[in-house]
Amino acid sequence: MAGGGDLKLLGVWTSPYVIRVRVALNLKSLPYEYVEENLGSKSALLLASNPVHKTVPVLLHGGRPVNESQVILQYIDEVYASNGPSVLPADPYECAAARFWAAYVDDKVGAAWQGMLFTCRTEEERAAAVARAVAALQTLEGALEECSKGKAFFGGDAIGFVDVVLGGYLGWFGAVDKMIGRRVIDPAKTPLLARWEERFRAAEAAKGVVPDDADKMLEFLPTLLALSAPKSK
Amino acid sequence: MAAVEWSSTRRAFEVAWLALVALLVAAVLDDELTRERTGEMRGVLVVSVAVDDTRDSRSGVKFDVNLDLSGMVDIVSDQNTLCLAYKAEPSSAASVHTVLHSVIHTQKERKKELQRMVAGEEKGLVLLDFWVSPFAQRCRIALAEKGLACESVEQELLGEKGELLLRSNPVHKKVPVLLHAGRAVCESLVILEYIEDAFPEVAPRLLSADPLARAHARFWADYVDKTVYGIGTRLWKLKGEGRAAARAEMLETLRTLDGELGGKAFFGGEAFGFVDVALIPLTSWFYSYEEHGGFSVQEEFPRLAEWARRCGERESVAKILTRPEDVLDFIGLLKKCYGIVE
Repeated sequence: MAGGGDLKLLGVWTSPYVIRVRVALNLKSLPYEYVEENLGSKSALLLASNPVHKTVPVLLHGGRPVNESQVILQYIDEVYASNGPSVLPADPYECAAARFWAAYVDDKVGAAWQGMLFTCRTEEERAAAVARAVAALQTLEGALEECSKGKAFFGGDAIGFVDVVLGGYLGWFGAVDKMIGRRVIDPAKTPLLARWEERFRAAEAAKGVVPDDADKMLEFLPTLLALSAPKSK
Repeated sequence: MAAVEWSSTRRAFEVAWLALVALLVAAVLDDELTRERTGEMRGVLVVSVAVDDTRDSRSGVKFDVNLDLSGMVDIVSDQNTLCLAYKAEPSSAASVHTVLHSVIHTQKERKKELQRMVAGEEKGLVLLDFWVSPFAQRCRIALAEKGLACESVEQELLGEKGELLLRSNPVHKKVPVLLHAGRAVCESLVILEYIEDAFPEVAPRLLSADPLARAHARFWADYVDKTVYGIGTRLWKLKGEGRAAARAEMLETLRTLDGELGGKAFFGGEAFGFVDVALIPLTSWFYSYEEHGGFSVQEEFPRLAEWARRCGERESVAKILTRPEDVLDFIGLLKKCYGIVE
């Protein structure tokens, strides 16, 4: 049974790390209070809840904080085990594979994402970061084939750990696509991932949470850039 | 390693015979015969020939045979050295040949074993390892704490990587890799979680059953992963401002860890657990960080230093951790590889 206590999520609507947690909460049909943080003026609650990194997402369960998006995902799985399917597989080996690929996503795709939006100073640097993302996505294309075993998602029939972790980046990829005039997830290079993206975006749990308005994100980008704040994880 | 001094023409003949044998050994093992010293690095097996020659000590030809066997041979003596001591007799060359022959035989057996591992036929636990890797040591400590038998297979990382490693970890080509019944698990923290999951009845548990405690443990293990080793590497690799910045970050990191530990015996409380396993192998590197950064963990963070000593009392930790001096030597070796002059 789900433990008593309210759920509150501190986040920023564009953050891939926040988005993935929201998708996971939706998958379990868990009600929660969402608090949009202003990274330029972080709330006392955020600073008190995550003193080490001072970043979003922060999940507060009965007032007690859980930090780091992948840690939060596992927490949700464990506490709300009876609220529907878990994102992490039950089998230890498959679980290890999911954790491995999730770590790979944040390591390679995450670093490239930072580069293509926040740390690049020229269009050349942006292009180089996009190339790094594309290379990582190429590896993930193979991983998708392996993990999905012909099914819709990394997690099989249902959205799983790697799906939500990677899915968090889709909002920004849409914005970058608009900036550079071509797709980061290129159907010619990574056809499985391109179809995966469509399915993920169409999923109920992603609705209203994975941004689909590239213009709105691009409008918000200067605000984020001005902050030069440590990035969310 | 001992040099051999030969003092007569007869000896010279035996030198030639030994050289031939060594070449044969090398050919069979498919290993490179190197004449350069590889230093005191553990994991590098040196076959050296010692002659107890009481008759004539006038120097003749100095002869060393160094073979890099990458830890694949059973260790005969304590210092990873196969020492062949024999009397200076006409049959001595033959006795050397006999011993080397058994080395070859063992090597062939090991090769067959590795081939079975590559083919996924090995049933037990195997860890692809590197002697100084703190990440591999996390896995070995966890397995040792749980009494789970695991074979450690030392990998060649500074030269050409072996087939088993490349097949088991094609994405990163790094150690550690845990092979369980031939299936590969990569990334040390993923391996730690796997060990917990795959052997649910085996004590001690390194992660609490309570989800919030688990979340805290995962958070801090992740923090350790994001900070210590990366900052430490910059500390010894860089100079000037780069080193100064790394020093400041290292102190900040250790301060944060010391604060999180607080007055507790271990990071999770009373029992040795996940975060302790994640951090303790890195404490072998503290000495090197102190040397490069000019600070003392004992002075600045006595609670953390005490925690390290407390962990070091555990049999698993005491046996598995690299000696701090050996880590410093290894860093010296890396600096040479990178062309860094202190």
